[in-house]
Amino acid sequence: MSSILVDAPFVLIILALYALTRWMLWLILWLGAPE
Amino acid sequence: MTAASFGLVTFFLLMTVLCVKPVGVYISQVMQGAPIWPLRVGRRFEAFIYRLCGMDPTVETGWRRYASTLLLFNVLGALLVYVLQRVQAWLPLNPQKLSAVSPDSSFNTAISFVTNTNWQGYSGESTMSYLTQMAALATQNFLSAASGIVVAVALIRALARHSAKTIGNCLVDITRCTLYVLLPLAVLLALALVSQGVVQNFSAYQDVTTVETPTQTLPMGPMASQESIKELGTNGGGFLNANSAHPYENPTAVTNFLEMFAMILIPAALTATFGRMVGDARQGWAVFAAMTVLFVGLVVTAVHSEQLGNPLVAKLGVDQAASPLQSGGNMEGKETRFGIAASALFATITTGTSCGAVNSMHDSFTPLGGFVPLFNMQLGEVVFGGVGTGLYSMLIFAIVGVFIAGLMIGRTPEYLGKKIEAFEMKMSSVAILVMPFSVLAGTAIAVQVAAGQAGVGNPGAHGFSEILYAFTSASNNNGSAFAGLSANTVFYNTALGLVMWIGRFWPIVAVLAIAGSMAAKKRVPATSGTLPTHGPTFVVLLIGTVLLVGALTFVPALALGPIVEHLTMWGR
Repeated sequence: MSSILVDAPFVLIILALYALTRWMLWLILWLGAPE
Repeated sequence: MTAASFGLVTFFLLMTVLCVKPVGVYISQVMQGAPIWPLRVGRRFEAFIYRLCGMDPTVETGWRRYASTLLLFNVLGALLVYVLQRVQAWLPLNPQKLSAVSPDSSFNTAISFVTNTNWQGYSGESTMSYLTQMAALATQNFLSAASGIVVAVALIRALARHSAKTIGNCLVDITRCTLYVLLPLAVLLALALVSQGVVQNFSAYQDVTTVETPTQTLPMGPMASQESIKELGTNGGGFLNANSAHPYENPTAVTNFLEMFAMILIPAALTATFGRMVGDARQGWAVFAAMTVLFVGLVVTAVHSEQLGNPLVAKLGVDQAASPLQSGGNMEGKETRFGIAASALFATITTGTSCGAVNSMHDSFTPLGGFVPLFNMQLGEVVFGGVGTGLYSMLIFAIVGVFIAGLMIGRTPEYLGKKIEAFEMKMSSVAILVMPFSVLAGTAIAVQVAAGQAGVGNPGAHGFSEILYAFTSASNNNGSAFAGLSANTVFYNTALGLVMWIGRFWPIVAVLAIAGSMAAKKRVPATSGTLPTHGPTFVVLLIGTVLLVGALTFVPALALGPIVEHLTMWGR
């Protein structure tokens, strides 16, 4: 249980960085990129 | 600059020039799936990998799918590296019974190796089991290097094609690059390193009796195999804390030369790959020429500054003159077996190529000598840059350069027959500005908060340089450390982890978007108003663009660090 608590923030940061970068793809499409 | 230094630099450049074309052509053949014998030999194994992954290697994708696949591939790699470090205590190949790596250090290392940075806040020999070193770190050395190369290849394909909707298949590109380019070269280099005495075994650490201390523990492990891809893939993460300054990783002048050469080989050769794939070798040579001119300027500055020595030490009566018995100059933090030239040349290559391996302590360089590695990274690592990253970053500068030239003469800018329009300029701006933003914002935050100030080993201008260097190294995915900064803290592990990811993947997404846009464009025939991009005028334009962007962005910060330190040292 304690391991999950100490690891969860860092795993979440990795996933959040991934999600944020995926969001950039949509942002770039909005800026006029070809499909 | 001594005659020996001049000879070493000249011989190194000569070897590089000689290998650019054959290696570059080979890479282009591999990435285009040409029927050459290595691909024929490995065809069945390659097909087995595709079947295992359930993918059709003949299907190409557009830039969005290419980018999505690359991102997913790398985030899964990051999670795997994180987990392996956290559970290494329960896994085999851990003769030293090393415990699990701390969560913040595991996070930093996972991002670091996936982004090709290899920033190391930990000490390898006392932290990582052999399994972690191989299955997590060395594996990522291959895959992150391949990830960089495939982005460059995708951009080249986009420039070579016209009215196309696809830029390649990301996983096929990664597989071919790993199997036919990185693995064979890494095996060859590892064997050469072992022949020179680099350690390669699975033994437990050895306790030996020495003259000075009762016993000393000598680290063992699979070092040569990691060392080879560390340099070839411009990764830089050492098996040992002292990295390539340690005699087990880099024992002789021969290994030092091989390691320097391995760092520059693929980044330089990719310029020939570019020329070959766009159907005009001169385009590749023009980019190579611009990189070489910048490289020579930086090497000469670094070697000269280090050979000049330290005036404060000279006042103490220390002999810093070069002679048959000593290298002379500033030898603090350098290995006597390498001396000034091999250390300064190594430092220039490792920061120019995004590698980050070190054979001397950059923190101990003279202010101007230390300025070179720092500025090299701040130029965006385009001299010759990381594997793939150097070429695509330079091509982005080329796009900006022809845009500026187009504005000056009042014509629509073109590059390789493709019109450069608003979208390409927006994406080029994103690709170029992400790095300075994360460097300067990260440094500004670190010098303001107590957790950031706590890591500084030398207060004042040099301490500022230490923090600026750390964020510059992380954002550029270089990974070399200035030393002097205690970075294995929750603050630095987390902050540097964030900027490593942003500095790697945000520009990659922008570059792939440019690739998608360029592939879809029609080719415009060259006219009398077209700026030739294979001649000396373009080379000068490209160098000017790189220097202007780098200088304008970072001179204020550099003035607070190495420049003021240089003036203070020589003004006393």
